[in-house]
Amino acid sequence: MGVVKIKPTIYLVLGPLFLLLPIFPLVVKAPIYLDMFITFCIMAGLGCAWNIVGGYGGQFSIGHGAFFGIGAYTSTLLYLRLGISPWIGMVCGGTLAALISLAIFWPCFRLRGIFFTMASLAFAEIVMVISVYWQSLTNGNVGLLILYDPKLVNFIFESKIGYAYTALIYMLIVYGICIAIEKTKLGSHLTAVREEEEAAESLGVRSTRYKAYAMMISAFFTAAGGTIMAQYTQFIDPDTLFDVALSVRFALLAIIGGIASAVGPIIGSAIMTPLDTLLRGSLGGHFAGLGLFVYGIFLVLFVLLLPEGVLKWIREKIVPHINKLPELSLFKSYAKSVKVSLSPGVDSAKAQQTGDTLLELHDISKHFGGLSALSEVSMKICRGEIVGLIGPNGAGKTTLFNVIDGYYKPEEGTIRFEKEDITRLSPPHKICARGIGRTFQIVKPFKNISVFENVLVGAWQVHSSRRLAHARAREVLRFVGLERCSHLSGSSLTISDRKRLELARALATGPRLLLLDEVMAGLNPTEIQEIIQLIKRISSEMNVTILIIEHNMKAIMALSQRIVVLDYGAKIAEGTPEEIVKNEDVIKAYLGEEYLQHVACA
Amino acid sequence: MTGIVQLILNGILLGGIYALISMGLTLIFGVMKVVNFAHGEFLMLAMYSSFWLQYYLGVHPYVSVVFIIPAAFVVGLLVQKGLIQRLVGSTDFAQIFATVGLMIVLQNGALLLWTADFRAFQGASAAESLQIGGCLISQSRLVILGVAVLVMLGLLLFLKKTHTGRAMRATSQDGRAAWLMGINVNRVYMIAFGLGTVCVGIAGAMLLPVYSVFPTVGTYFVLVAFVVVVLGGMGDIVGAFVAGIIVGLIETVGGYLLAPRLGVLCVFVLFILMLLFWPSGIRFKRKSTVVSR
Amino acid sequence: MLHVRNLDISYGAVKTVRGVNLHVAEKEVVSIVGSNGAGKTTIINALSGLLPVGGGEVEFRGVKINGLSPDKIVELGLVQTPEGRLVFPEMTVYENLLIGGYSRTSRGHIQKNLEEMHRTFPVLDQRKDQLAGSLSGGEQQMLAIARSLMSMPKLLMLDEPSLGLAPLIVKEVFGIIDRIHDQGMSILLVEQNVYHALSISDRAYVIENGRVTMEGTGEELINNKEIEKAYLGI
Repeated sequence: MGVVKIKPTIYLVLGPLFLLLPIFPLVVKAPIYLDMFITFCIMAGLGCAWNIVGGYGGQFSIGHGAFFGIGAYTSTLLYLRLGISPWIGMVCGGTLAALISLAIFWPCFRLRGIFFTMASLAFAEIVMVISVYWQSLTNGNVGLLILYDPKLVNFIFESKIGYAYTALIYMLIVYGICIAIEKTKLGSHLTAVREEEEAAESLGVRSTRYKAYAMMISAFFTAAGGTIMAQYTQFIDPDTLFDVALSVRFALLAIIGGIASAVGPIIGSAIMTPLDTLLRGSLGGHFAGLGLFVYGIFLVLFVLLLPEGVLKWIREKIVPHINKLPELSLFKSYAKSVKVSLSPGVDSAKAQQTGDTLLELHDISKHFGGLSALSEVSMKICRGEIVGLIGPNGAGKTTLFNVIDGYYKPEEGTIRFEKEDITRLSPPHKICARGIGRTFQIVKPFKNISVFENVLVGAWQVHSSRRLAHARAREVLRFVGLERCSHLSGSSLTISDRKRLELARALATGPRLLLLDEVMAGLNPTEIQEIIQLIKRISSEMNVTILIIEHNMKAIMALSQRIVVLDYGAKIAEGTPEEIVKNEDVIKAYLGEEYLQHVACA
Repeated sequence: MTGIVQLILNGILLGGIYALISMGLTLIFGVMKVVNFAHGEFLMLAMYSSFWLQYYLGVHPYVSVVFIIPAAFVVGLLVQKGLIQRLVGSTDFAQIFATVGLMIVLQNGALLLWTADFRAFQGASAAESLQIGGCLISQSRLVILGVAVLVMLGLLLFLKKTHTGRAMRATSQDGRAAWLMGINVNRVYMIAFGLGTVCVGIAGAMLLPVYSVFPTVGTYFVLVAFVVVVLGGMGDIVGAFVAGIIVGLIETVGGYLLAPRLGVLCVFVLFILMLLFWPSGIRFKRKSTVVSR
Repeated sequence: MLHVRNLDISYGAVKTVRGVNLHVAEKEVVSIVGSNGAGKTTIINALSGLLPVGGGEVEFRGVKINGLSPDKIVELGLVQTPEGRLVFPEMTVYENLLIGGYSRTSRGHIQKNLEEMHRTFPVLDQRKDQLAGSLSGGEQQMLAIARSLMSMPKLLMLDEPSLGLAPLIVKEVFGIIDRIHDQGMSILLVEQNVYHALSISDRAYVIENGRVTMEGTGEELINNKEIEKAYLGI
């Protein structure tokens, strides 16, 4: 039990602002300000909708105008030709846009960022060409006029106030959706995919699926915005709807405010809409294009100078001052602190005896072009073991991890995990779901989110309830000793803490087998000792079996019960640490044949 | 029969235009791995320059190339130094939105200065055609095709035979190794961007007798240029030329089969399909003759 | 000719190389050995100007070179053959050599240098019109070395020349390094292959965790049991 503390930022700044918004249309009656308010709300909503896929998902679309247009045309055509209320048309348009987005962009998610952007641009162009060409339906370039017939069911209001509230509600809904996304698995996974797709996959994130969800939600609300705009202006035509500049505007609002933040586009719109009105109102008549000219300059400047938007600047420069004010203690919360068991896999594992075979590789071969990276590698790992995997640079160790993890498919051989064949299982999230976690040689923290959120990505794999997932993430952080910096961003950690973070993330997914790729590289001797202790605790307290690649021989000797040695892609030795250091083949591989001869002579 | 030949000729001639516009874009991408979304706006600026040179000084667009080449090079250098240099190796986010921003600025700058009016070449040669065996060949389009071939050969020769050209290829293949060989990579980037801008500058002047110029003329062409560049293999000069012709043919034939306005639709549909199934483009020539990765 | 004093190099917020001192004299072969991730390549990249130097001073033939751009450093005669060879795969062997020979100091001697490279590496003469990417690993390594030599360096830095090569080829590469040295070249060698490196070196530094932990003549170190420990952890 505790008291909910309300931070001064919220009660002083955001609270009043949000309370003022609904009153605004009632107090300010001048049409120009009402116009501005409506545009502000619609654009903010559209910015938020873009942000879902562009900000959280990191897929930079500049073709969102197409969804906007699809929404506007669908509702308008349904209304004009079939007399269906635009309210229903709005839902139809949104659904249509979501379906089209899925069909077009699902395959596009494989593309690198820039290609995705090009594809989105081409998509907008296609929709425009169709809308211009299909004159019998759309009236082509002439556009469609919605007759003034004010009725609620017609989505046409007598006064601007009706539009103002519709727009406000629209904005708040999209904003609310963004907040919800941030708080749930969807947001956590989207962000992870945006930051490091490969690492996210290894944590069990189904990257394509989450991008598709984001795209559909985003397309739906962009189309809904299109309907509202069409009803408000009562006129639509291809030139205004499908202008690239319009699509760029959605993105710009998010960029100026703060990309991947729910409130960002609203702030962006609050800055840009008045500026736009001003430019258009006072000068635009004489200088067509001035507004967008300024938009472009803003875009370039923000990308170069303040790529994280105004929000970040506000957070760093202004919020700390406000936060010095006392907190408000409001009401009591009955949030219980939850305790979760760290190794849910254990219960089922208990049934099986320690010592039976967990992972079995049989004659694994992998080629790259003509180069054979792995040739006929076989090995077994028993439950509860710590096995070392060593070998000179380029021996194929990391390739072997990538094969186990599903990133590569081997040409030959089989991989069995808990007696089941997982050889062809791919992409990596499926392997993760089976209970194999991994870390990367080059650490891949999700940079722009906190340490806690990093670990949370993995924790969703075990718990789908938010409360439990959070509890698990906290628990894992405590276990690896990163509690103290759980609020820091992934990129601000020291190298040793980053390695711990890698471990924590992988552990959060509740693996039964953990693949560790050079977790000690770049650490000093004290840090190495600490990591060794941590790995031992993971093995003994969490009952996780470990396969570890390591160059630091002292560490690997101290940790491993067994060691497997690779050289030129083949297994050249296997045995206890004592056996390995005496093995002539191993010495040869590491220090050269001549070294051996030299020592023998000396 | 002549109908089909005429159709194919039209396609090839249109393809020549697309090829000419795309070569600068592919060069810039090949060397710097930066996609310049404002490429079409450079085309627009060149068309305007050419137009005003004719309007005020009576210079024929073909002659205006003499002025446009040095001007485009300098503009290219400045944009590279002021903006693009910061984007090399940076995130997709910065690359996309900084160049998209530049696109919007240039488009609307032109709108502010010169309004949205369509402005066209003043002269007769646009309509003049050669007649060969019953087929009509537009002279000015034939000139463009010829210039496209010349630009391609010029670029290939430059890349193959000059030291700067070789340094450019080296940089495109491995920037780090290029530094270690004593190549000033930043200087190479500047020259590459300048050259890319010159290519699109030439295209602008050559295009004026065929197309009117207006502030957003670049948007359409840049999209087609993306298609061409991706189809040809990003960074591949010969590929861009061949892909340009292919895209021209597809648009013309598609337009004939469906409806004139839908030809371009075929191109964009092809583009999306290609991005999905064939992202590395066509590769059909000796690799050593091109800037490629 | 090369003096490195108190060199610090940071990667992000993390210092990866700390207080390294080393020097190379005229006509010497000096090795930097150590296990993977110890910081060897980081040091050599900083010397080449690819990474910013965090602290300390690098002086080459009387000129302070920290802060210079990589092309300037090549012009001064400090040239690196990078790890993984990094030949330009889609250019011919001949073109690769030309690229190497175009630094301001060597530009006038291209023809003479080409002939010399063809004498030292006959295989490159035979394959001069082949694409570099189509060469075998060993041939690529020779091309990479020849390409660096084309710029007429005063000091050649070789980063892991034996990486990924079969044992027999490794021997050949070290034979070539030895020969280049005999012709009067000063060499700074970064290697994991301890024995080979030490056996051709006048002096060597052992790097562990970004610090120099041992230094001595090649002979001293090769007979030192500590080396074996550092590598095998016995």
